[in-house]
Amino acid sequence: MTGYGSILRIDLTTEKISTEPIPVELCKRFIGGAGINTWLFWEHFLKVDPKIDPLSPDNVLIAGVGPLGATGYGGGTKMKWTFKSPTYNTFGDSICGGHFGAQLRWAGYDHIVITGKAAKPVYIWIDDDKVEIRDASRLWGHDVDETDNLIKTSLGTKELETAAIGQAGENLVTYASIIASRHRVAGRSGSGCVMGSKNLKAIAARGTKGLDVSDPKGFFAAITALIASVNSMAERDIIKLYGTLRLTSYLQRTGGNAWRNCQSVQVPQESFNMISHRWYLENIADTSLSCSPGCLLSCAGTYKVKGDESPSASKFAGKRGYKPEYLAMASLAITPDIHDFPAVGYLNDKLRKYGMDCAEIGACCGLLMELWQRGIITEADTKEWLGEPLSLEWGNYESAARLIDSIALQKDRLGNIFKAGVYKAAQRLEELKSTSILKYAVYGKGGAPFTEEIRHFPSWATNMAVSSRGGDHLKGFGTLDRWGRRDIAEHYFGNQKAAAPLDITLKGASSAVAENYTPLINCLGVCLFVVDVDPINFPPKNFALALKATTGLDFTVPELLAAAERVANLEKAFNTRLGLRRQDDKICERWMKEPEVQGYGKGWKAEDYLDKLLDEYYEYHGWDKTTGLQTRKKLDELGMQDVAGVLDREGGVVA
Amino acid sequence: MTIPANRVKIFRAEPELCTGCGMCELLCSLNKTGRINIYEARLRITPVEKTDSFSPTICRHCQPAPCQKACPVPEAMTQDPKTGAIIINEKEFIHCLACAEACPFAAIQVGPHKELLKCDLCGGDPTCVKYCPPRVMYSKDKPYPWPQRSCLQYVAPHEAMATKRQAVVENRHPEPVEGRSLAEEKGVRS
Repeated sequence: MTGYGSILRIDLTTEKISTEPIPVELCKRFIGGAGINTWLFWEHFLKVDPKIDPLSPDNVLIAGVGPLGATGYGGGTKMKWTFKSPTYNTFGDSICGGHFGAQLRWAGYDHIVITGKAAKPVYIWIDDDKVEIRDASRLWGHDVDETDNLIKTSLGTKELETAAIGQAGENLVTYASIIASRHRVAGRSGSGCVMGSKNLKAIAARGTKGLDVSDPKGFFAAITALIASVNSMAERDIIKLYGTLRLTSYLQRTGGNAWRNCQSVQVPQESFNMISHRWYLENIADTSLSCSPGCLLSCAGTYKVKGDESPSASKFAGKRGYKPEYLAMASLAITPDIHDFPAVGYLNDKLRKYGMDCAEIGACCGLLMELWQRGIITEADTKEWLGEPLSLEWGNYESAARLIDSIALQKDRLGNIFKAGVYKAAQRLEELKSTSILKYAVYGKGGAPFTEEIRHFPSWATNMAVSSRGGDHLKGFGTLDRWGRRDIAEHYFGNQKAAAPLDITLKGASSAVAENYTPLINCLGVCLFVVDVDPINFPPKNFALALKATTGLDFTVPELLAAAERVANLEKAFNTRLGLRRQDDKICERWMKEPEVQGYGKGWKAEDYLDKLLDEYYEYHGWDKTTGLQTRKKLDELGMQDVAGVLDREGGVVA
Repeated sequence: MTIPANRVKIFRAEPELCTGCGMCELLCSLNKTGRINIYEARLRITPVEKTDSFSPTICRHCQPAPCQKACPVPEAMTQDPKTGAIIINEKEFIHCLACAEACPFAAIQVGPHKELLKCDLCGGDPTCVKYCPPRVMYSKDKPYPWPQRSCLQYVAPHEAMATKRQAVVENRHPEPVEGRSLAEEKGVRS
């Protein structure tokens, strides 16, 4: 079908490779990208027991790009990886930019479904129609950069892109990530761990076939409409210059920076000045890059350290690195209180090369340093775990680097304790120290959440509690209370109070709305930032126009929104099959019970409002609020009778 | 030496402003072939690994043009009187590729369907220039809004030189960005 590629299925156990076209009904039902990924995932677990160990060969790793990705539509190219998450033991998915997804789509494949487990390390080479499983024993043990180089050398061409894992994925660290095109990370949920468990080191792709477009003229019209949207955005220049890095100062003002493991909401001003987006731009910013083909905003980039900018800079003089996103800043600078940009960049680059999630590392590092501050962990402990004493005071970036090395390479006990993430590590430390430690850990649903203060942002707290993958903010990328967008509140609810800060009016409903809308962007294969936070400037009718021009399929706006809601429901249905109910929709004790001590949201704690907002959230979704289960009525309304049937057999749906 | 009268505007690129988004390649191919395929685009974006940046390779429509001079068929390569673009005449074209060999910038390439990829300036309104996203020229001392400029430009010669001078004043060229090395391989210095 025009505008769509095919599904490539690879079984690593039997080395069987097959392709099949995407049926039109499936495109109409789930659009593509994350939607079709989730459907393929659901179909796989109809044949396989959903309660399997995520590291077993029966788990599946699915990659997919939506129909507007790799086209030059202007929203970039985002690839979704879907699998059962080893970090949270629930549904798991992760998104990344990079040129890899585009090459795959230009080779004619929208989705790859990888099952089984290879007998020895392998990598997959996709060169248009030719798909090979090749030996990767020489690549095993190398980091992401070296792997990329070695693959390019052995295949004799630089015109290819890779998605690879580093040592962390090989060593089955549960929150290891897949790195696409060397620097775009599919970070959350442990995609790299699943890839490592399949003995798959990398996937390399080159696509020279390109894409057919149903109506080129209409496509140009759609791009023109998108450019007009971008130009009407007040924040356009700021996003182009800083990307997500701009959030450091925005959240500093609104009290969203989780300083020293959520002990305070504001970074002290003199420390903050060294990690702000402005410091970055004025001191070490070098180039500005697009993370993936077809992006109008180009918010990624690289930096170069001269050597005299900050106390640690002389150590990294001449070093280049990729510009950290806000999540990296929150996890590696604000949480462990490392107020030195070159050092943060160094840690970020280390994580990229090992292929590990920075949010989880930030939470682990924050926990360790807080335990050190409270005297629960001392030099004797670190000596026992590492064989040499390690001092873990706040701001010690060398210790943070040592922790990262330990975890990625799994050569000592410290690394082993933190192998399964912050929640399990806190439990293990409780056993070791026989004192209560879990109350200091910041986690959500068994893994690290977005390392950020959410107690006085009620819609974000709700989103983190209900997210289908761990404690996560990107499943329902709510903008109302965080950005104070009264126009969006008016548009959705006819009530501007829904966007009022420090107020819980309609915040549960706004979480549900965001959760139903966000999958739309992920299904299209374009970037979530900007487009998702601004549904007024980027209305779904723009996407309908572009989809019609690319694929020739007529989507009305209600159809698009229904497809997105189906995806949210399908993710929920999978978790229901695992036995997750309303009592599992919760966040950590620190956020629930401990009030914020100072600043903008002083005195706020999630316990005060979360239950009420959850009721509102379930009602707005059309789900049952006592059990948290989906209702047959809602699933019928979305045309998901088949899903309701499966759930019904397992007692996972109410009338 | 004067710039020829038909050289109303020149097509140029500022490599330091390229972010590698590929809008030019993607939309050039869509405009020319109705398909999206960077390998069929009439210009190329080449990654420069050393500096983590990108460098565009475009046809500069030189006058006199080495490609036109190398062409053995008199009418196969002509100049558009309106835009000054060097255009291939499909009827006379004999596939000898002398033009591609002669181009000092390696701007003439052969596509996957063995077709010659040569820029023709889209008749005076280049698609690549139209959709090249402008970059923000941040300056510590200047107040918001900062000026914007695209990497690909289709401007009058004196305007092009003015932006070049401005770039030197703003010291935006601390290191020269490497161009495509093919021209060097051939022993041609641009």
